[in-house]
Amino acid sequence: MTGIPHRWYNVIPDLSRPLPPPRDPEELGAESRIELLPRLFPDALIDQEQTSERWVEIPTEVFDAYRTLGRPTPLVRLKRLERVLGTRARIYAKREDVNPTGSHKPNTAVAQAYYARQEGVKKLVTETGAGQWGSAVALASAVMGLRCTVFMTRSSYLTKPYRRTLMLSFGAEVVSSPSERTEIGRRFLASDPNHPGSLGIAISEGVETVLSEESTKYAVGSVMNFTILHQTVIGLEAMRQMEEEGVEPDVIIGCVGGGSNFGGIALPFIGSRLRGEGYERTRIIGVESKGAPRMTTGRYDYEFVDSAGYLPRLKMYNLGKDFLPPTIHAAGLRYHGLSPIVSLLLREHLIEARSYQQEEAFAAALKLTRVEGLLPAPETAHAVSAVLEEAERYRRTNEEGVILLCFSGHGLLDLQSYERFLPSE
Amino acid sequence: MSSGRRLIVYVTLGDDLVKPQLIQRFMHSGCDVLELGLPTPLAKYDGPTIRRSIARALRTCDGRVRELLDMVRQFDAEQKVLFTYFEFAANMGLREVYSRAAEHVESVLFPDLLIDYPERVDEYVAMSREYGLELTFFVPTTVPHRLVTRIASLDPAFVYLGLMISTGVHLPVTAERNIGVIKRLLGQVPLVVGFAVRTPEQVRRYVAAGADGVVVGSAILKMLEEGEAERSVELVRSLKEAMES
Ligand SMILES: Cc1ncc(COP(=O)(O)O)c(C=O)c1O
Repeated sequence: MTGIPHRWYNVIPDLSRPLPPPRDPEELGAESRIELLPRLFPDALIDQEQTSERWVEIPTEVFDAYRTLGRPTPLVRLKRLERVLGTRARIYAKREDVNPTGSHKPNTAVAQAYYARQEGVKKLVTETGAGQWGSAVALASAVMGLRCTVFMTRSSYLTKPYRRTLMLSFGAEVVSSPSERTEIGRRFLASDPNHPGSLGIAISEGVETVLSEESTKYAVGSVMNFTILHQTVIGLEAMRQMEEEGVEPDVIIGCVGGGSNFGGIALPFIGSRLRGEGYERTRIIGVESKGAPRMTTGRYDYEFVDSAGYLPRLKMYNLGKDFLPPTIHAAGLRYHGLSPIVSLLLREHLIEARSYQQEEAFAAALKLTRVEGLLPAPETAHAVSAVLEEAERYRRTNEEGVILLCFSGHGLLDLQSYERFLPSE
Repeated sequence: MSSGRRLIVYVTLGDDLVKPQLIQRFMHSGCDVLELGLPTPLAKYDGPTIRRSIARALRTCDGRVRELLDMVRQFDAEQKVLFTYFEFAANMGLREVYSRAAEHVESVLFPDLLIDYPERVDEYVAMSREYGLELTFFVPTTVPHRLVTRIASLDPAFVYLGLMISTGVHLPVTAERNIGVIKRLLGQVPLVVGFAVRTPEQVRRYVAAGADGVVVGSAILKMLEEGEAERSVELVRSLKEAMES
């Protein structure tokens, strides 16, 4: 049986061109954001961000935490879904929802909490949209003995009370963002007391907080290289599991918020292809929401990571740091940019991008739920839409194929969203 | 360019803190190669110190950057490398840059060539050969291994690994590990390393890890800003000593 990998995979050494490095603001006299990085992140993570090596050892304690939290996660074949779709494609789901918070997010949260604690950090601060990331950091902080503050976008704070309760149960503090606590928060509240918040604003609030406190570091949920690095446990496991099943994926599908679950499942396969070790024909599809269509309509250019521009600029597909997305239910897909690694892969046509309306996503999710009993997170539901579309293509051509879905999370704490989309009966 | 271990000193053309006599003293104190930065307002990978130096230089020339190219000849050093962003040079016209400067330098180094314009490497190679210049390449730590192997096959005078994200800003990156990885890929091709080098101790560690040369820039400019020209000469001397020990 497939075990947990002992190393994370860094795709950067295998890419076809160098990953564009982060940059400071363009104006010559602007304050350096790159200089701030060591105050924000544990040293080990900055080191991983810049490593030239292909493989990074997983520390024993993180490995053990992975085991406790349910790794390796199951790879399941969704035969009933295949049958109702009338497709000859085989559909596999890598179950990243099977852990205490219900998404892939703990894969990097426990690693970040571990390195922080190793370096004497006492508290982690972070942002959350859907609440999945906040829950994962709250959990990881509890496991590693750290305190934790989560800035939760106001729209989610109001619509996902049980996510908040979960974080509070882990012992974290949860703050609605924009908040009165930070300069940037006060600025946005002044412009609109009912401001729904955004990931960009919540990140700025978190960063501002970290810079003003001792022994506090920032935990980042996606986008940065090291978050994607940690998530490669998903793809490394899935690759072995598929080998055991005796199948190779023809299509790999994941939803793209910041790009971490998608990168996590896809990069080990893409790396094999780039090294000429197989998977030449495998198509890799990243799925976003039409509410934040960065990959399908955004610019590939340097942009700030957060709304206030406290962090460096990254080269990524983006809609501008001031982009205020509609309050879609898949809060994890509302971000204005995405991982520079995933962006480069898209630019180089190594992956495809697709976008769906949330109505389609929830309809697809319910189709899945009603035969398999799996209720995907709203983010994951977007990926399910693409699975159905691909399965339909196989049905029309009557070809065989293998589809691998990253089932990034469950929707059991997103039931208000589902309520809105249940068909009236 | 001569091979063997070399100490490279970076200064910005047109920065009025950088006097030709001072450069002579650097050369006498162990500097092997002078790296002359043609300042551009688009300082992609430059940290605060070099950005301030660029700002001073741009004030001096009142924005007429190409005039600074002619200053290359004023600096008396046996080996000189011109350093500027490809984006800027391509806008000005590559030929313009080469025709003004080639006679006075051994090589032109574009830090953004492989990152933003990998498809124009052939153009760089052709232009350098036409003017009888040697090739030099800059790579970040996030460089694909295959690309390192490819540029190594072009027989460059050296490959320059930027150890940090931007010049002069030290980050907790394990430089020795990255030096080892890139050196293994380069084989016989000389590897020089830079970004935030400021102590003899660093130089010893980087050389032990496989670096054939070290670049120092921000540390010197900072001393010049503080009016400590004497200390900057001393720094050059101590870095060179560390390299040979
Ligand atoms: C279940 C789930 N899937 C996907 C995402 C999107 O993030 P990423 O693209 O980093 O995987 C989120 C983010 O909150 C999420 O909670």
